[in-house]
Amino acid sequence: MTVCIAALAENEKSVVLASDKMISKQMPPIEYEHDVEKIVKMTDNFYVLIAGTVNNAIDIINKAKPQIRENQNPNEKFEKMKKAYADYRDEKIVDEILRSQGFHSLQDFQSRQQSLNQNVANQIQGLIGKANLQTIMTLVAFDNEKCHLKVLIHPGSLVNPIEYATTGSGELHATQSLIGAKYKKSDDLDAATYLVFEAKKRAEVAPGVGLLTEMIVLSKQDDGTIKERRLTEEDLGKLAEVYESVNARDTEKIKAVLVEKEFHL
Amino acid sequence: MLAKQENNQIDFSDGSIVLPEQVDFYLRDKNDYRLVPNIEERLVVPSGLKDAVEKSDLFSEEDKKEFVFE
Repeated sequence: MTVCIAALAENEKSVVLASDKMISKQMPPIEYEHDVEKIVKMTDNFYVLIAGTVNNAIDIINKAKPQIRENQNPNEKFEKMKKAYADYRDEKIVDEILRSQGFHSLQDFQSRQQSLNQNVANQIQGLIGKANLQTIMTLVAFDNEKCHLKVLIHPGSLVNPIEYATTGSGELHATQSLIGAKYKKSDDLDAATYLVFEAKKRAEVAPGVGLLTEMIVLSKQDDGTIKERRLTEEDLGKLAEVYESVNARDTEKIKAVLVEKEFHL
Repeated sequence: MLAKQENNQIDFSDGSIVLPEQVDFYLRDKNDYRLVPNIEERLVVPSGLKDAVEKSDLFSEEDKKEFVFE
Protein backbone atom coordinates (compact mmCIF):
# COMPACT_ATOMS: atom_id res chain seq x y z
CA MET A 1 0.00 0.00 0.00
CA THR A 2 0.99 3.61 0.06
CA VAL A 3 0.03 7.09 1.13
CA CYS A 4 -1.47 9.74 -1.13
CA ILE A 5 -2.53 13.18 0.07
CA ALA A 6 -4.40 15.91 -1.81
CA ALA A 7 -5.13 19.03 0.24
CA LEU A 8 -6.97 22.12 -0.95
CA ALA A 9 -5.27 25.44 -0.13
CA GLU A 10 -5.71 29.17 -0.71
CA ASN A 11 -9.50 28.79 -0.57
CA GLU A 12 -9.54 26.08 -3.22
CA LYS A 13 -7.47 28.08 -5.71
CA SER A 14 -4.60 25.68 -5.09
CA VAL A 15 -4.06 22.07 -4.14
CA VAL A 16 -1.02 20.33 -2.64
CA LEU A 17 -0.41 16.73 -3.75
CA ALA A 18 1.96 14.24 -2.14
CA SER A 19 2.67 10.54 -2.41
CA ASP A 20 5.35 8.00 -1.61
CA LYS A 21 6.91 5.76 -4.28
CA MET A 22 6.32 2.31 -2.80
CA ILE A 23 4.96 -0.29 -5.21
CA SER A 24 2.78 -3.10 -3.81
CA LYS A 25 1.53 -6.04 -5.82
CA GLN A 26 -1.00 -8.60 -4.66
CA MET A 27 0.09 -11.31 -7.08
CA PRO A 28 2.90 -12.13 -6.54
CA PRO A 29 2.85 -10.39 -3.13
CA ILE A 30 5.77 -7.98 -3.37
CA GLU A 31 6.69 -4.45 -2.25
CA TYR A 32 9.55 -2.24 -3.38
CA GLU A 33 10.45 1.44 -3.65
CA HIS A 34 10.69 2.51 -7.22
CA ASP A 35 10.97 5.80 -9.04
CA VAL A 36 7.37 5.53 -10.18
CA GLU A 37 5.01 8.49 -10.29
CA LYS A 38 1.81 7.89 -8.38
CA ILE A 39 0.61 11.39 -9.21
CA VAL A 40 -0.52 11.08 -12.82
CA LYS A 41 -1.23 14.09 -15.03
CA MET A 42 -4.27 13.34 -17.22
CA THR A 43 -4.65 16.87 -18.67
CA ASP A 44 -3.36 20.31 -17.63
CA ASN A 45 -6.32 20.64 -15.23
CA PHE A 46 -6.84 17.04 -14.12
CA TYR A 47 -4.57 14.83 -12.00
CA VAL A 48 -5.02 11.39 -10.44
CA LEU A 49 -3.26 9.98 -7.34
CA ILE A 50 -2.95 6.21 -7.12
CA ALA A 51 -3.12 4.11 -3.94
CA GLY A 52 -3.31 0.35 -3.62
CA THR A 53 -2.62 -2.04 -6.46
CA VAL A 54 -0.80 0.16 -8.96
CA ASN A 55 -1.07 -2.03 -12.07
CA ASN A 56 -4.88 -1.98 -11.84
CA ALA A 57 -4.83 1.81 -11.48
CA ILE A 58 -2.57 2.21 -14.52
CA ASP A 59 -4.92 0.04 -16.62
CA ILE A 60 -7.93 2.11 -15.49
CA ILE A 61 -6.11 5.34 -16.33
CA ASN A 62 -5.15 4.03 -19.78
CA LYS A 63 -8.76 3.03 -20.35
CA ALA A 64 -10.14 6.43 -19.33
CA LYS A 65 -7.49 8.73 -20.79
CA PRO A 66 -8.66 8.73 -24.45
CA GLN A 67 -12.13 9.87 -23.29
CA ILE A 68 -10.97 12.71 -21.07
CA ARG A 69 -10.70 16.23 -22.51
CA GLU A 70 -9.36 19.31 -20.81
CA ASN A 71 -12.54 21.30 -21.57
CA GLN A 72 -14.85 18.83 -19.79
CA ASN A 73 -16.10 20.03 -16.40
CA PRO A 74 -14.81 18.21 -13.28
CA ASN A 75 -18.00 16.15 -12.90
CA GLU A 76 -17.73 14.83 -16.45
CA LYS A 77 -14.12 13.82 -15.81
CA PHE A 78 -15.05 12.16 -12.50
CA GLU A 79 -17.86 10.20 -14.17
CA LYS A 80 -15.54 8.98 -16.97
CA MET A 81 -13.08 7.72 -14.33
CA LYS A 82 -15.88 6.10 -12.35
CA LYS A 83 -17.13 4.25 -15.44
CA ALA A 84 -13.61 3.15 -16.38
CA TYR A 85 -13.10 1.79 -12.83
CA ALA A 86 -16.39 -0.16 -12.81
CA ASP A 87 -15.90 -1.46 -16.38
CA TYR A 88 -12.34 -2.58 -15.60
CA ARG A 89 -13.55 -4.47 -12.50
CA ASP A 90 -16.27 -6.17 -14.55
CA GLU A 91 -13.75 -7.15 -17.24
CA LYS A 92 -11.40 -8.65 -14.66
CA ILE A 93 -14.23 -10.64 -13.07
CA VAL A 94 -15.12 -12.07 -16.47
CA ASP A 95 -11.50 -12.76 -17.48
CA GLU A 96 -10.35 -14.23 -14.17
CA ILE A 97 -13.49 -15.94 -12.83
CA LEU A 98 -16.39 -16.36 -15.22
CA ARG A 99 -14.67 -17.26 -18.50
CA SER A 100 -13.23 -20.45 -16.96
CA GLN A 101 -16.83 -21.47 -16.15
CA GLY A 102 -17.98 -20.90 -19.75
CA PHE A 103 -19.47 -17.38 -19.37
CA HIS A 104 -18.31 -14.62 -21.70
CA SER A 105 -19.79 -11.63 -19.80
CA LEU A 106 -21.54 -10.69 -16.55
CA GLN A 107 -24.81 -10.40 -18.50
CA ASP A 108 -24.25 -13.92 -19.88
CA PHE A 109 -23.78 -15.24 -16.31
CA GLN A 110 -26.88 -13.40 -15.05
CA SER A 111 -29.10 -14.57 -17.90
CA ARG A 112 -27.98 -18.20 -17.54
CA GLN A 113 -28.12 -18.34 -13.73
CA GLN A 114 -31.50 -20.12 -13.81
CA SER A 115 -29.96 -23.06 -15.62
CA LEU A 116 -27.24 -23.47 -12.97
CA ASN A 117 -27.47 -25.34 -9.70
CA GLN A 118 -28.82 -22.58 -7.41
CA ASN A 119 -26.10 -23.16 -4.80
CA VAL A 120 -23.33 -22.81 -7.37
CA ALA A 121 -24.96 -19.68 -8.84
CA ASN A 122 -25.17 -18.14 -5.34
CA GLN A 123 -21.56 -19.08 -4.60
CA ILE A 124 -20.31 -17.43 -7.80
CA GLN A 125 -22.48 -14.39 -7.05
CA GLY A 126 -20.89 -14.21 -3.59
CA LEU A 127 -17.44 -14.39 -5.15
CA ILE A 128 -18.29 -11.58 -7.58
CA GLY A 129 -19.43 -9.47 -4.62
CA LYS A 130 -16.03 -9.98 -2.97
CA ALA A 131 -14.01 -9.06 -6.08
CA ASN A 132 -12.12 -5.90 -5.17
CA LEU A 133 -9.46 -4.16 -7.29
CA GLN A 134 -7.71 -2.98 -4.07
CA THR A 135 -7.23 0.32 -5.87
CA ILE A 136 -8.16 3.80 -4.63
CA MET A 137 -7.80 6.87 -6.83
CA THR A 138 -7.90 10.50 -5.72
CA LEU A 139 -9.23 12.70 -8.52
CA VAL A 140 -8.15 16.35 -8.65
CA ALA A 141 -9.80 18.62 -11.23
CA PHE A 142 -9.98 22.36 -11.78
CA ASP A 143 -12.82 24.30 -13.39
CA ASN A 144 -12.92 28.05 -14.04
CA GLU A 145 -13.54 28.76 -10.37
CA LYS A 146 -11.58 26.37 -8.20
CA CYS A 147 -10.18 22.91 -7.53
CA HIS A 148 -12.47 19.91 -6.89
CA LEU A 149 -11.53 16.65 -5.13
CA LYS A 150 -13.15 13.22 -5.27
CA VAL A 151 -11.99 9.79 -4.14
CA LEU A 152 -12.83 6.81 -6.35
CA ILE A 153 -13.19 3.60 -4.36
CA HIS A 154 -14.43 0.02 -4.69
CA PRO A 155 -16.62 -0.97 -6.51
CA GLY A 156 -16.59 2.28 -8.50
CA SER A 157 -18.07 4.86 -6.12
CA LEU A 158 -17.13 8.51 -5.74
CA VAL A 159 -16.60 9.91 -2.25
CA ASN A 160 -16.52 13.62 -1.52
CA PRO A 161 -13.71 14.68 0.84
CA ILE A 162 -14.12 18.08 2.47
CA GLU A 163 -10.73 19.80 2.65
CA TYR A 164 -8.27 17.03 1.99
CA ALA A 165 -8.18 13.43 0.85
CA THR A 166 -5.78 10.85 2.28
CA THR A 167 -5.64 7.30 0.94
CA GLY A 168 -3.56 4.13 1.30
CA SER A 169 -2.20 2.28 4.30
CA GLY A 170 -0.83 5.60 5.65
CA GLU A 171 -4.26 7.22 5.46
CA LEU A 172 -4.96 7.29 9.20
CA HIS A 173 -1.53 8.65 10.12
CA ALA A 174 -1.75 11.40 7.49
CA THR A 175 -5.31 12.31 8.50
CA GLN A 176 -4.37 12.52 12.18
CA SER A 177 -1.43 14.74 11.30
CA LEU A 178 -3.65 17.14 9.34
CA ILE A 179 -6.33 17.10 12.05
CA GLY A 180 -3.69 17.80 14.70
CA ALA A 181 -2.35 20.70 12.64
CA LYS A 182 -5.92 22.07 12.27
CA TYR A 183 -5.45 22.06 8.50
CA LYS A 184 -7.86 24.36 6.64
CA LYS A 185 -8.40 24.85 2.93
CA SER A 186 -7.94 28.57 3.54
CA ASP A 187 -4.34 27.94 4.61
CA ASP A 188 -1.54 29.88 2.96
CA LEU A 189 0.17 27.85 0.22
CA ASP A 190 3.61 27.64 1.87
CA ALA A 191 2.14 26.52 5.20
CA ALA A 192 -0.18 24.08 3.42
CA THR A 193 2.75 22.59 1.51
CA TYR A 194 4.70 22.08 4.73
CA LEU A 195 1.71 20.53 6.56
CA VAL A 196 1.11 18.07 3.71
CA PHE A 197 4.82 17.15 3.77
CA GLU A 198 4.57 16.65 7.54
CA ALA A 199 1.50 14.41 7.09
CA LYS A 200 3.41 12.30 4.55
CA LYS A 201 6.41 12.00 6.92
CA ARG A 202 4.13 10.89 9.76
CA ALA A 203 2.53 8.29 7.47
CA GLU A 204 5.94 6.70 6.86
CA VAL A 205 5.56 4.61 10.02
CA ALA A 206 2.54 2.83 8.50
CA PRO A 207 3.20 -0.54 6.83
CA GLY A 208 3.81 -0.30 3.09
CA VAL A 209 4.55 3.45 2.99
CA GLY A 210 7.83 4.34 1.30
CA LEU A 211 10.40 6.93 2.36
CA LEU A 212 10.72 8.56 -1.08
CA THR A 213 8.41 11.52 -1.61
CA GLU A 214 6.84 13.13 -4.65
CA MET A 215 5.07 16.48 -4.23
CA ILE A 216 3.29 18.70 -6.74
CA VAL A 217 1.55 22.00 -6.07
CA LEU A 218 -1.13 23.16 -8.53
CA SER A 219 -2.47 26.71 -8.53
CA LYS A 220 -5.16 28.42 -10.57
CA GLN A 221 -3.73 31.50 -12.27
CA ASP A 222 -5.57 34.75 -13.06
CA ASP A 223 -5.46 33.92 -16.78
CA GLY A 224 -7.30 30.64 -16.10
CA THR A 225 -4.30 28.36 -16.62
CA ILE A 226 -3.01 25.94 -14.00
CA LYS A 227 0.54 26.40 -12.75
CA GLU A 228 2.30 23.17 -11.82
CA ARG A 229 5.18 23.32 -9.33
CA ARG A 230 6.97 20.01 -8.85
CA LEU A 231 9.01 20.08 -5.64
CA THR A 232 12.70 19.45 -6.21
CA GLU A 233 15.05 17.45 -4.00
CA GLU A 234 16.25 20.80 -2.66
CA ASP A 235 12.68 21.87 -1.78
CA LEU A 236 12.01 18.54 -0.07
CA GLY A 237 15.32 18.86 1.80
CA LYS A 238 14.27 22.25 3.19
CA LEU A 239 10.88 20.90 4.26
CA ALA A 240 12.65 17.96 5.93
CA GLU A 241 14.82 20.40 7.90
CA VAL A 242 11.71 22.27 9.08
CA TYR A 243 10.12 18.95 10.00
CA GLU A 244 13.17 17.94 12.03
CA SER A 245 13.26 21.25 13.90
CA VAL A 246 9.51 21.37 14.57
CA ASN A 247 9.36 17.76 15.71
CA ALA A 248 12.66 17.56 17.61
CA ARG A 249 11.98 16.01 21.00
CA ASP A 250 14.48 17.28 23.50
CA THR A 251 13.53 15.40 26.66
CA GLU A 252 15.84 17.61 28.76
CA LYS A 253 13.93 20.71 27.63
CA ILE A 254 10.59 19.01 28.24
CA LYS A 255 11.77 17.99 31.70
CA ALA A 256 12.90 21.57 32.43
CA VAL A 257 9.47 22.98 31.46
CA LEU A 258 7.72 20.31 33.57
CA VAL A 259 9.87 21.30 36.55
CA GLU A 260 9.17 24.99 35.90
CA LYS A 261 5.40 24.27 35.84
CA GLU A 262 5.79 22.22 39.03
CA PHE A 263 4.36 19.11 37.38
CA HIS A 264 5.51 16.02 39.23
CA LEU A 265 3.87 12.65 39.89
CA MET B 1 -38.39 -18.65 28.18
CA LEU B 2 -42.04 -18.41 29.12
CA ALA B 3 -43.59 -15.15 30.14
CA LYS B 4 -47.11 -13.97 30.76
CA GLN B 5 -48.04 -10.38 30.26
CA GLU B 6 -51.04 -9.00 32.01
CA ASN B 7 -51.79 -5.35 32.68
CA ASN B 8 -48.28 -4.37 31.63
CA GLN B 9 -46.72 -6.74 34.15
CA ILE B 10 -44.46 -9.58 33.13
CA ASP B 11 -44.62 -12.77 35.16
CA PHE B 12 -41.41 -14.77 34.90
CA SER B 13 -42.51 -17.44 37.39
CA ASP B 14 -43.10 -20.13 34.74
CA GLY B 15 -39.85 -19.59 32.93
CA SER B 16 -36.13 -19.46 33.47
CA ILE B 17 -33.63 -16.99 32.19
CA VAL B 18 -30.71 -18.36 30.19
CA LEU B 19 -27.64 -16.84 31.75
CA PRO B 20 -24.86 -15.65 29.44
CA GLU B 21 -22.44 -18.13 31.05
CA GLN B 22 -24.47 -21.01 29.65
CA VAL B 23 -23.83 -19.95 26.05
CA ASP B 24 -20.23 -20.13 24.86
CA PHE B 25 -19.68 -17.48 22.23
CA TYR B 26 -15.90 -17.62 22.51
CA LEU B 27 -12.94 -19.67 21.41
CA ARG B 28 -10.79 -20.37 24.46
CA ASP B 29 -7.13 -21.05 24.96
CA LYS B 30 -5.75 -23.84 27.23
CA ASN B 31 -6.16 -21.58 30.25
CA ASP B 32 -9.82 -21.12 29.38
CA TYR B 33 -9.11 -17.51 28.46
CA ARG B 34 -11.59 -16.11 25.97
CA LEU B 35 -9.95 -15.31 22.66
CA VAL B 36 -12.25 -14.28 19.81
CA PRO B 37 -15.96 -14.72 19.24
CA ASN B 38 -16.56 -18.23 17.93
CA ILE B 39 -18.35 -17.10 14.81
CA GLU B 40 -17.14 -18.20 11.39
CA GLU B 41 -18.54 -16.68 8.24
CA ARG B 42 -16.87 -18.36 5.31
CA LEU B 43 -17.74 -18.04 1.65
CA VAL B 44 -18.12 -21.37 -0.10
CA VAL B 45 -16.55 -21.27 -3.58
CA PRO B 46 -16.98 -23.96 -6.27
CA SER B 47 -13.80 -26.07 -6.28
CA GLY B 48 -13.47 -25.58 -10.06
CA LEU B 49 -12.61 -21.93 -9.34
CA LYS B 50 -9.87 -22.66 -6.78
CA ASP B 51 -6.97 -22.11 -9.18
CA ALA B 52 -8.47 -18.99 -10.75
CA VAL B 53 -9.24 -17.44 -7.34
CA GLU B 54 -5.80 -18.19 -5.93
CA LYS B 55 -4.06 -16.58 -8.93
CA SER B 56 -6.33 -13.55 -9.06
CA ASP B 57 -5.52 -10.19 -7.44
CA LEU B 58 -9.24 -9.43 -7.14
CA PHE B 59 -9.27 -10.89 -3.63
CA SER B 60 -7.19 -9.88 -0.64
CA GLU B 61 -5.07 -12.48 1.11
CA GLU B 62 -7.43 -12.19 4.11
CA ASP B 63 -10.43 -12.93 1.88
CA LYS B 64 -8.69 -15.91 0.29
CA LYS B 65 -8.08 -17.43 3.73
CA GLU B 66 -11.83 -17.29 4.41
CA PHE B 67 -12.89 -19.04 1.20
CA VAL B 68 -13.88 -22.71 1.47
CA PHE B 69 -13.55 -24.59 -1.82
CA GLU B 70 -15.99 -27.46 -2.24
